[in-house]
Amino acid sequence: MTKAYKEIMERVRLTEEMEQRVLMGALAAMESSASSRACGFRRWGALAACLVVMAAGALLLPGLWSQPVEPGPVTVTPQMVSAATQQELEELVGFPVETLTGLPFTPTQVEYTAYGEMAQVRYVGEEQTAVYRKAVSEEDISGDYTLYDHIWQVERDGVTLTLKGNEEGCALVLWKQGDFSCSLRFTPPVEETLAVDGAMGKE
Amino acid sequence: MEICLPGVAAGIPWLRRLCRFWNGIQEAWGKKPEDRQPCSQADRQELNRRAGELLESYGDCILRLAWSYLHNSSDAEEIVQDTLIRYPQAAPQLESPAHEKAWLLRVAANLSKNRIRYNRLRAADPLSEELVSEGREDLSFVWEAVKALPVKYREVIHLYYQEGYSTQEIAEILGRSGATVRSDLYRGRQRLRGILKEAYDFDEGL
Repeated sequence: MTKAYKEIMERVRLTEEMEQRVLMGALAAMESSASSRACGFRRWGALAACLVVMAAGALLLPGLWSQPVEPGPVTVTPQMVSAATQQELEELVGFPVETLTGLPFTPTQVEYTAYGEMAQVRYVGEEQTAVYRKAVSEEDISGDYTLYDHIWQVERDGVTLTLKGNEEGCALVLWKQGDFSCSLRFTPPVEETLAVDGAMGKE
Repeated sequence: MEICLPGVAAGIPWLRRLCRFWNGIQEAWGKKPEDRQPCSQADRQELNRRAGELLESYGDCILRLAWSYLHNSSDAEEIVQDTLIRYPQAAPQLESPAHEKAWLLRVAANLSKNRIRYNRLRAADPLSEELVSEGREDLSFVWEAVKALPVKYREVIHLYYQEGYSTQEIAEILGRSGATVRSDLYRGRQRLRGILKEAYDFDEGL
C-alpha cells in the first residue's frame, strides 16, 4: 500500500508554472493587504485631517492661520523584535504584560517577542511549552489554525474563557481583558483546570 | 521606512490590524527594520526569496496533502498559495524545519477541509484520468479506493503512508488525540482492505 500510494503521489508535483503562479498570487495577496492598509491610511488620514480642521476652525478660528500646521499625531508601527526582559517587551508594545505564575510546569526559559502591537511570552519547560499572547484586539490572536474537536467556555473570576482542545485536554485558552485579547497555547495539551489556572494566575 | 498612522486612524482597530498584518509579513519573512518600505523592490525580492524557499522545501508536500483532500490540481494549487499567505499572517512559533513543515501541513489540511465544507470543489480528477490513460489500473484502483474513504480516514492515511508520520505526529498536525488517530488509521485501513481485498499487503503494524 505504501509503495502504491507513494507511486500515485509521485505524480503530484508542483511544476515550474504552478510555482510561478503560486508565488505571484501569494505576493499579490500580501501586497494587496499592504496597499489596502496604505489606502486606508490615506482615506482615514484625509478624514482625520478634515475633522481636525473643522474642530480647530470652530474653536480657534482667530488663531488658526497664524499657527504653523503641525503634522498629526503619529503612531509608529513598531518593529517586531525579541526583547530581553518583560519590561523591555512592555516598552515595545506599550502596555503591561503580565507574568503567568500559574502554569502547570516550571519554565526553564522565557522568551519575549513583540509582534507589532502584540506581545508574546513563550514559557519553555522540560517537556512543555506555553505561549501567551496579548494585544488590543477583538479577535483570536493565537495564530493557531487547528480545528479542535472541542470548544467550550468556563467562567473564572468574572472572566469568560474559551477553551479549545481534544481528547488529550485543553490546548488553547482565549479570553478578553478589557480592550485586550489574550491567548495561551499549551503544548502538549493540559487538563482544563490547569489551563484555566495557567491563564488566570498572573502577577 | 516607518509606517505611520494619524491619531484618529490609529484608534481604528481594523486599520491597526492591517498594520500588524503587514508587520507580520515582514517579520515572518525576516525583514530588517531599516528596510520596511511596503512593496519596495527589496521587499518584493525578500518576500519572493522566502516564499520560494518554502515552496521548494514543502511545496510538493503541501500540494499532495491538498490533493488528497480535493483531488484536483487547481484547488490543490490554491491551497498551496493560501497556505503561503497564512504563514506570515499567523507568525507561528517554529522550533525546527520539521515543526515548520508540520505547521504548514496543518494549515493546508484545515484550508482544504474548509473548502470541502463549503463545497467549492471542481469535479475533474486529472490524476485518475492520467492513471487510466497510462493503463495503471492497479494504481487507479488504489487511488479510487482511497478517495472513497471519509475525509477523517483519508487524511490520516495520507500523512501515514505518504509523509511517514507516526500516529502521534499526525495527531499533533490534525489537532486530534493519538488514540483517535490510531483508531481512524485502523478503520481506514480496514475499509481499504475491504475494497482492495488481497491485492496489497495491509499487515503493516501501527
